[in-house]
Amino acid sequence: MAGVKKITVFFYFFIILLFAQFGYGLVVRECYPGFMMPGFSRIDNDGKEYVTYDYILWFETKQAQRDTINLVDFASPLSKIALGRAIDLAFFPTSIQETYNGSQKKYYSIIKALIGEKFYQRNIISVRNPKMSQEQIDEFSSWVKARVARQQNADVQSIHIEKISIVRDFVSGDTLSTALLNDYDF
Amino acid sequence: MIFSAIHTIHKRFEHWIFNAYSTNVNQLGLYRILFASAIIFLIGIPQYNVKIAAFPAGVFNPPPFFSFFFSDIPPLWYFQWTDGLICLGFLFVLLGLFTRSAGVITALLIIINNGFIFSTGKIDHSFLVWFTLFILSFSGWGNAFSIDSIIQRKAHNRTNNWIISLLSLSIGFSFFTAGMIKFLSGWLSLSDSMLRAFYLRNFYIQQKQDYLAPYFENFTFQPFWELGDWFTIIFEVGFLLVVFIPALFRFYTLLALFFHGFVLLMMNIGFDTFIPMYLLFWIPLIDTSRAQKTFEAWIKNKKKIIGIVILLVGVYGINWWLKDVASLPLSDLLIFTGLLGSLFILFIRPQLIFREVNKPDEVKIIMFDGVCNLCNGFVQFVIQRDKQAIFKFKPLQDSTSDDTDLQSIILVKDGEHLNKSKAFLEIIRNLHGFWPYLYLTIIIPRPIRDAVYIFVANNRYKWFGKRDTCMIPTKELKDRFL
Repeated sequence: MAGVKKITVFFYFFIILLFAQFGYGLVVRECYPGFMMPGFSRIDNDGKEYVTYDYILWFETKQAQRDTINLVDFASPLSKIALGRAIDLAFFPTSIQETYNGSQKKYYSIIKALIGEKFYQRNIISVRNPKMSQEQIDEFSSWVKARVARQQNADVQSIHIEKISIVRDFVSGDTLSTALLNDYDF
Repeated sequence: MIFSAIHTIHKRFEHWIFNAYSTNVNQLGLYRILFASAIIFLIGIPQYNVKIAAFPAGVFNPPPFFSFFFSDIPPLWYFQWTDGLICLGFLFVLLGLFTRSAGVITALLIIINNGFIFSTGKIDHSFLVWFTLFILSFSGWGNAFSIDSIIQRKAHNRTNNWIISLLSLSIGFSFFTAGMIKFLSGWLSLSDSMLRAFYLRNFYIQQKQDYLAPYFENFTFQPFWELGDWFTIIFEVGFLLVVFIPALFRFYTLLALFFHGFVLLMMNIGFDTFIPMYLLFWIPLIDTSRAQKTFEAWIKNKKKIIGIVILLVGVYGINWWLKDVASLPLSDLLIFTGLLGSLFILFIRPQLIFREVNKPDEVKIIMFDGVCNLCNGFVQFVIQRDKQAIFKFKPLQDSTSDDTDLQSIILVKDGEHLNKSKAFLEIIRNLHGFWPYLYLTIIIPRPIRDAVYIFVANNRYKWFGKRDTCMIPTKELKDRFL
């Protein structure tokens, strides 16, 4: 009987935990391990046009040859999404701020008012928008360069990464316009 | 009043925790073998050393909670060693050797190693599957069809069914979060389709263009995409609601199989690891008595059992070698099998979804108003669709009790007397054909269902007429009547 009570209490706590981690995931960032499957939320889309974001990685060899690389193949066995997150984190940190959980932004002013500016910056903003140190960025840059060199079997002189936005026709999928949002050289 | 209501809810919740998802030790033992086999032979045991060797250097942005415990990615040798332990762990779980420890350690290693892989900030959804492995290690699934059960030489028939309730809650809640986020971000807007946007992003940016993906590129029929948006949200959010009704949860696992199959065909996203997880909720429908007899015969012959273990280890080794030389899309095959299986049950054998588990052949008595034409018609209707003859019938007029209520059909099962809409739905779920789908209306609160029932019951003589005497069963049906 005592076991039954303990397990029942555990279930109540478990339900509280489920909702707590979901709330934390919505406001701050998805935890791991956790019972949250964020999936795909809204991207700007009016049924006629929609915007997606992509990256173009240019490399230039010591022989002055310039070419792009397929990022799906480049990222394998990881996914292109995972690589994209790493690129954003290292080279375009403001992109994370702009895209991550954008729909909840309206609630932030309320949260800030409730918990105070200092706590808000330290426990929400810095967790939501992490930053890499210069040392880490350099390490990641070297890794990208070395990986391109190995995959392309070339002496890589420099890398140029562009983050672009692509507006496509919603019906046909055709590209209507492309815009450069940011770029990074190393 | 309020305290009484809270107490009732608490008691119902407690009953749900311990009784809703009942299985026996043999069913869990069989499930353990199926789960481990699916991971080993079809999906593939998670291996991290190759992934980590290709992992972006300098990137360490793991999700909160995980980052409290780890501050950097461990060296490659750590992943090589843990990969070996994970392989060994799955073999032990399959054989049922040190089952609990093997399951717990394997699950924890996978959960931790996945955390390192998620250090770019992208998380996949496989946690639920490894959580399944973790908690089922405490369910008693190693107590049958296992080396542990042979070594222990004593029967351990206890199962912790509350663990399955916990898992169903975790699955339901996880899907609910997926649906809620979509809902909050405007997926149900009728002016555009998010599913279409998601598909196009996947097709062009992620270059997922296999299977049927190219055929959807120019498929611009807006209602189809809009329906997809609505189905996705109703399916995902609804998963949490059905957790408390096991038959409906089983129905939802079929929808999930259909959903995953369709997502793979259209977007090339494979939720292969989820398939063995859903199987758990179908296991209680399986009669394991024959498997148990076979296993008991085997364990009497030591040579035979050693031979079987060697054979399993051999097959495991060959599977390992085959994975290196041939890259077969077995995990996709598993998803397509799930898709076909779900379609088969949904459209050809729906009675399997709603059947009562572990007591499908128990005789139940339907007591009905013998002079009511509607009730007599219903009895004939049930007889025609009750292929296993699990129902027996008795006119309420034959009841010895003076206060018999003729206004409701009564179903007697497990010594319980169910009436009104509850009795009707409990009868209908056991019939053949598509009628068991009516059981889905159990989700409607009982007062509303009963109100509809009472309205029909009050008007049954007026609408359908009344006879002077109770029906007399034909010779063939005589033994069905009490």
